[in-house]
Amino acid sequence: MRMLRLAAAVAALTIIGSPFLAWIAAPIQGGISGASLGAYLGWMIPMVGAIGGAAWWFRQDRVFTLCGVVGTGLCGFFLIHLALGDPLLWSLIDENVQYAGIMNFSRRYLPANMGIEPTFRADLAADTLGDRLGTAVHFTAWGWWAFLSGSLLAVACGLKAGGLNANRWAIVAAVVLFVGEGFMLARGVAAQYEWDAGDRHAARGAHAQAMAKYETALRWDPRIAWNERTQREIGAVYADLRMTTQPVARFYLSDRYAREGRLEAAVSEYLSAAGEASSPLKEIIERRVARIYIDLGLAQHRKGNAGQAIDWWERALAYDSTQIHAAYVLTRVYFDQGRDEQSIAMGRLLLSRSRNRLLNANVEANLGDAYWRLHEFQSARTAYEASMELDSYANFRIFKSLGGT
Amino acid sequence: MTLRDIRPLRLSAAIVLVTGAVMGLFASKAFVGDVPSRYPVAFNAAEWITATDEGPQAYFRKELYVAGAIKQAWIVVAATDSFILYLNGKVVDAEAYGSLNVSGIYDLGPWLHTGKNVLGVVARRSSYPGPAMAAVEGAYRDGAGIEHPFASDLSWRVASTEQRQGSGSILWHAESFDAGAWSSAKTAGPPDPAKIYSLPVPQTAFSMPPQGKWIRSSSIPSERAAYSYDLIMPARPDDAWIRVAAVKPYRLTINGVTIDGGPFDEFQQRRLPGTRIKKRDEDMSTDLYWIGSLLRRGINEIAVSSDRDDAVLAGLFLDGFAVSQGTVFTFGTDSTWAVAWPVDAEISADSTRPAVILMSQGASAESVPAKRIMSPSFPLSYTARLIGMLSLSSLVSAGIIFVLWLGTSKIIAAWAGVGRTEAGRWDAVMHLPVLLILGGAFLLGFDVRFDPGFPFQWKVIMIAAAALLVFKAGLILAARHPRARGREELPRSPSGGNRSLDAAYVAALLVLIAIGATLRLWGLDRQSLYHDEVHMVNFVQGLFDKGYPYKMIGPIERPLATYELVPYPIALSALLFGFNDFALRLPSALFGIMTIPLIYFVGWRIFDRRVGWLAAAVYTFCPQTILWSKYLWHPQQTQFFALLTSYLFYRAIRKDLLSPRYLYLSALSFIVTYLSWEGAGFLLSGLLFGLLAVKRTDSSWIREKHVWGAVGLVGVVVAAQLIRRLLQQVPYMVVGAGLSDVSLPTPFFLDPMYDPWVYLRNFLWLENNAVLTVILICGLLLSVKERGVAYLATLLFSTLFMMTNFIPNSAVRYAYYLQTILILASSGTVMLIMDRVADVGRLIDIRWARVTRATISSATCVMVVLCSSLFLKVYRVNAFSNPSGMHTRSDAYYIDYRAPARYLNSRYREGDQIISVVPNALEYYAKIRTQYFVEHYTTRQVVYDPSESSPRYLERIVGVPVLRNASDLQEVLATRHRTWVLAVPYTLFTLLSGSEVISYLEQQGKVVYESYNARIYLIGE
Repeated sequence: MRMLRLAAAVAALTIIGSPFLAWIAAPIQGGISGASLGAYLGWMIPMVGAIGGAAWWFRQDRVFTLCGVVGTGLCGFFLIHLALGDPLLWSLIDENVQYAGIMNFSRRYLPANMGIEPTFRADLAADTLGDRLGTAVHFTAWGWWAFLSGSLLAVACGLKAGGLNANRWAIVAAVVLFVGEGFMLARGVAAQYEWDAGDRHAARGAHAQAMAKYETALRWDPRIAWNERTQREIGAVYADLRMTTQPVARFYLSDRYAREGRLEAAVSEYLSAAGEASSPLKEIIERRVARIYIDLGLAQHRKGNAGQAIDWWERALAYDSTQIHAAYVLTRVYFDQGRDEQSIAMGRLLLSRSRNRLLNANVEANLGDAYWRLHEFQSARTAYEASMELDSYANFRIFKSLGGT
Repeated sequence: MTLRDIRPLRLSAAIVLVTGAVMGLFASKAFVGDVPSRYPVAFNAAEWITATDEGPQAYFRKELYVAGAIKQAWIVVAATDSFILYLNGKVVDAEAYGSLNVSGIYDLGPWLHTGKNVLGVVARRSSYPGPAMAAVEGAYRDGAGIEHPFASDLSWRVASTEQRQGSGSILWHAESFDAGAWSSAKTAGPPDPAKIYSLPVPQTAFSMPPQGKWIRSSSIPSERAAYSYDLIMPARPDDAWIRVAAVKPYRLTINGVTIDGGPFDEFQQRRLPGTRIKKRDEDMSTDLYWIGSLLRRGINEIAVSSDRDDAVLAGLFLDGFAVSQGTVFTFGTDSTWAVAWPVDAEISADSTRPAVILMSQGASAESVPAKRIMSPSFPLSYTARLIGMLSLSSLVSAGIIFVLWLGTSKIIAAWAGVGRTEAGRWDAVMHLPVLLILGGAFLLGFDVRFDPGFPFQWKVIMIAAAALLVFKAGLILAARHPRARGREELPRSPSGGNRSLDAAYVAALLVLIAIGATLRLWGLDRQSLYHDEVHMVNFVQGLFDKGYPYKMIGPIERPLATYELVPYPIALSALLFGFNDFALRLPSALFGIMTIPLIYFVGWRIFDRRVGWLAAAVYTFCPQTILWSKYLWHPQQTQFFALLTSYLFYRAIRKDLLSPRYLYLSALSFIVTYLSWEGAGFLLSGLLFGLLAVKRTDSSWIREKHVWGAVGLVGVVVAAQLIRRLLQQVPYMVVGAGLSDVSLPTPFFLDPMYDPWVYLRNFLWLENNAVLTVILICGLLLSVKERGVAYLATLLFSTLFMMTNFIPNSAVRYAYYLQTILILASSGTVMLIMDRVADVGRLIDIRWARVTRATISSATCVMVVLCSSLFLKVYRVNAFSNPSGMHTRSDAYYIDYRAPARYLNSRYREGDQIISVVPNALEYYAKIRTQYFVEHYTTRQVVYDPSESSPRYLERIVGVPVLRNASDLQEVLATRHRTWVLAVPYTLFTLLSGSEVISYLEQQGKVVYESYNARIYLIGE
């Protein structure tokens, strides 16, 4: 019995502690804690923890089990909501793409530094329901796991202490919660099923039927409209149906130009499509345009045209200020061009936005290089030391800078 | 039989239902055939070719002269462990996986041009022994359709080292390279397809001439088009492939199932040297899909919609073939294909018309883009349908087997004159051979020598079903005939005092020790010492020199501050048997051999002798244990004492009253373990959790003074060791990071480089360990109340958890000392499960049942030993995640220091200058001192020279001055006539030196020798 009490205490403490941990691990902007997960979850998590703690204190096993059940249900809700209902998922995927780009740039153009998180995955997708659930699990951080473990432990302790009969209300609650979540998931499954049917029709050239199926899929799960591929495929069917004035069809056409390497034509078409499009297509197009600007800049940079590259990246940043990728490459290329003050300013801007330690370590190292060249040795040293502090594993670049090797 | 009757038979019913479900699952998989097959590499004319010196690498080159335009060309390559295929100076592709004869098939059609073409293949071994070999076969079809085959034979030229011409700008595989000085390749017989890792695609998919024509929606380019065709199959195909070339993105559906996917990349090659002949995500390609599971008898609808057809590719090209009962059916795009006509949105019904043939195939080779193998992915609806079929099939099969069980147990009950419950239990045991057969077949599916679809064949299912019927029939007959029924009850455990059994166990153990000793001592010095080993040898030399282990880093004397106890057994061996590789590695091998009886003893004392024997057998054949027994460093010694510590501690705590004697003995054993490798300090936390798992609610141990006495003893030693180590770091400054920084546990889980799965991947799921892990985890629920299993499992998982979260660096070898704990826990679990199952059919009076039980027990043990042994190559189990095989497979050869040193020794002249990566290895093998070390960034630690006699940094092993860049290098090269650069290990050298130095060496130097991960450059002369 004493062990059971101890286990229950651990469960309650884990649940109470979980809101203060990160629940979502954004690649660049860092962990989002349970308390910041929006009003519905933000206050529910500590509340479940508090009730669970009180139930433990007053030895109310049934209430304790119920808290565990609600906690487990909340975890399931969080995951399904992030995968199917939260636009945040698309921002996270965009950040992930940007981070992959940043890491590629660093590997290629910066001095040696073996820093990339072992858990980082550059190939995250959101094209199917399975992809989105997998991606949602990938972005879930320690808080979620702690909350889930605490809740499951609470359920186990409660059931062990009271048995099934005494906990029938908790079982009813579990059934209700999980059936509800099943319905949430079923919408995603239905949408995926309809989408697959649309794909089948599109492959046969039955465009009208394909369109009907795609629209049904969108009705089941409107969030799939946030996916770039979804919009492209809808646009293709609109184009097949000769409804080329639709923004989504223009998006498809501009995307095709981009694939064919006609980037300027693509950008022009994108921009006019963005002018007519509404959310979420508008945001997708804007992100796409910014990414094309960045790619154009990278292409120029590879050719050695740093000036033109800077021009494209500045344009990307002006068009979409969330493009940290552009800010990052600018920091380094400003430095390469001898524009140290601008490099420092851009670096400071990046540091204010990013909470990724490895990214910030590289930015600090860039700052150190710029300060060094400005003969601000104390600031350079501070920046190098900050870089070392942020990334102490195989940060060869800093060993060289600080050690003078 | 009612539900009430079944209640006492819950476990029996579960066995029967699981057997039925598994049979249904296998049958369903066999019926659907959704596991892609592998295809043996068929060489007709090719022979293995090798370099004349039969070294571990060989550079092969063949010049092909093509007379005119070609229609099609393909090539199949196989090589020992790895190869890179070049065509006209560009990389076509590469494959690499240690201890495996890899293979690949490629389309060369778009890149072969008229005139001279150069094929280059570099084969490198990473396993030992044997030469690097390659086998190549291919053909190109000219404009007239005549096939011109080529194959690896004596006409191929070969070199043993990488060669360049034109000041390093012309590589050996370039068209302009003059290979006139190269010798002819040596042949080594025709390749045996069974010994080569099979291809993911039949060679026909590359070699078959196009069966279709380019088609389009109209004679002029148009917008997107959708093509469809009804393929009539006279029978369900056994295998089928399709080749699609269309403007991307396109949609392909077969019988309403949309196929998507990306390029197939089994070994996940990341970076390749040189320029690629094609980009991985090529816009133009002919994509090869396996569609065997999608086609059916009768009409099959194939539909493809492509993007606009006025782009690079014109229209659609599609063809394929299906094999049914040995007959091959081909199909392809032609005018019988229908095109959906684009319509206005207002019209709901789309119309179709015949496709237009664009041009006759074969006008130019470029008309069909390069073929690439695709890894298909299917939509949710298809996957759901498959899962539904599997579930239904499992349910039906489970129902049938269950009903059969009810029937046969009724007959047995009647004939044997026993109750239905007892008869049901006996009969349930007869189902276990089926599970063993299917489980064994399933495991073989992960072995690279078998097809992944091997388990899901009708003949395997038939064998399992036949086994079920035979065992059931045997039981029924035995129940019918009283003569087959004995009287005496079998002992529950064979550990009870039976003298002949005792002798059998001792004899079996002796056999294991003999085999284990042979495996560990055979070829003990075949591979050269690695740098860590040479490093330890330096300390042993210091021990002989001054009486304590130390080494010199330039002017600094550095006493050994970690692995303090490791040099002494080595020194003793060297004293007795001389200072050679065999003698130096002998203590490690002896620790490995001694662990066999120790693990037997521990298994026996914690569980029983069966567990001890099983654990000893698993340990004897485990590839990692053989590998580390041939390594003169700490892992084997640490493992031996860690196992001893774990056992002594268990003896101390297993009874209600703690045993002070065993407690202090375990403390002493822990100290020896810790001083063998301080990372084993995490064992302490494991022991604590193990104590909690054994004692559970009993907390009286906290008040036991001997516990605190033992803890105090350990604490003093640990503190003293750490203080000494820290103090020894003070006298000089180090730049860079390395393992020596790791002294105390740190909250590594807060670090961005934290990887929570590191030991899951590198230990628990490491190829042959996967089976042990699965057994342990599956058996935990059944055996959690068993103290021995609870203790070992808690010790194992808690130590791994602590190491994952609190050690900043991680490596495969760090967890190796827990290998014995994993083996013991799994072996204990196997026996507990077997006992539990045996309890189901307490077979007291039927001889047949005894035979069955003995068969099941023996087969289970053999299966566990085999699956965790070096005999199975279960590389698929972890998706080929250990390409090098380093510290994983016993035949992997990581770095050869010895052969390059001997080569240099034979050519070294007074006044030559030496630059090397691992100076002490060169000195050990060749007695030649290194002058410089090259390091571009502080990838490896360097030290400030405290004597101030040198203006340079010193490298950290022997203290030679560091060259930091190409200008430093040029400066020192100018001082000598001849300089040797020992790039051993070559992979580390490229990382340390940086591109500038490498580029300089390639231009000014010459590769004069190569071996495993080793190169020697000569500059000057």
